Amino acid sequence: MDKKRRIFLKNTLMMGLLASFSSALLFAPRKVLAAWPSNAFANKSLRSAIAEVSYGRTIKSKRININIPDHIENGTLVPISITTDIPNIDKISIFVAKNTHPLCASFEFHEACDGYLATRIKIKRSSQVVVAIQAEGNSHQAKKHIKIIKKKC
Amino acid sequence: MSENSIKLSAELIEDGIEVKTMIKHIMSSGREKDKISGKIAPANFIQEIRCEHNGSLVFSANIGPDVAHNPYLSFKISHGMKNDDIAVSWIDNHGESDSQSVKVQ
Repeated sequence: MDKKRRIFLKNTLMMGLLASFSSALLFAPRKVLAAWPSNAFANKSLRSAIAEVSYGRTIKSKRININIPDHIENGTLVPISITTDIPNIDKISIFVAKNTHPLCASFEFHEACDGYLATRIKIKRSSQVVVAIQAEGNSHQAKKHIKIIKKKC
Repeated sequence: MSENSIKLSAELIEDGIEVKTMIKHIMSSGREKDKISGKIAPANFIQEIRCEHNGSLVFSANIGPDVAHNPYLSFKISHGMKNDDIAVSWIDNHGESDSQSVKVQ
């Protein structure tokens, strides 16, 4: 009985170690690039992923317009466009709350760029999509709930 | 990578330049199964995309594997003229890269 328990404990411990190693391996090659924010992309919690890429006061903003279909059939290719009238934007980041790693992408504007961005992302299941815009030391945030519909035959 | 992995267009609009780009890339996260072989495909995704306007960096994107395959990007630069240079380059997690440049139309 006790021996079985030992083996069980040993096995679970090994599994845990293996899991952590494999997840470390998944993101290992990124070390080549210093600029790529690996911590932010590996983060599994939405709140800390947002904290990794943004700074300053958080403002819930109505000035961010997220154009994305409410109901989606194909979650592997979801068009999203963001328009805003917030001036002097440093960074626009897109998060999908229920993806394994919430941070999708972080776009940096180095020179005067207009508040417009369009791209396509993957959304695994129905989830909140959060957009965080970094401008003049504040972090403007807006979110939208997206529903993924399974196709019925 | 093949020569034409980047499709790029830069158009003069009312208040600047609109840049549209699409890059041919698998964008695999390392968690999904390959549909044909059934094996888990290794992580292979673009990490950084940069855009230069007349040689100076205007826009850069750090992207993860949750950007859809063949990443598409569109954004606006708030000043510019016809025949300005727009260059886009990318690098992925294996260190592969490519670049492409066009003149503003």
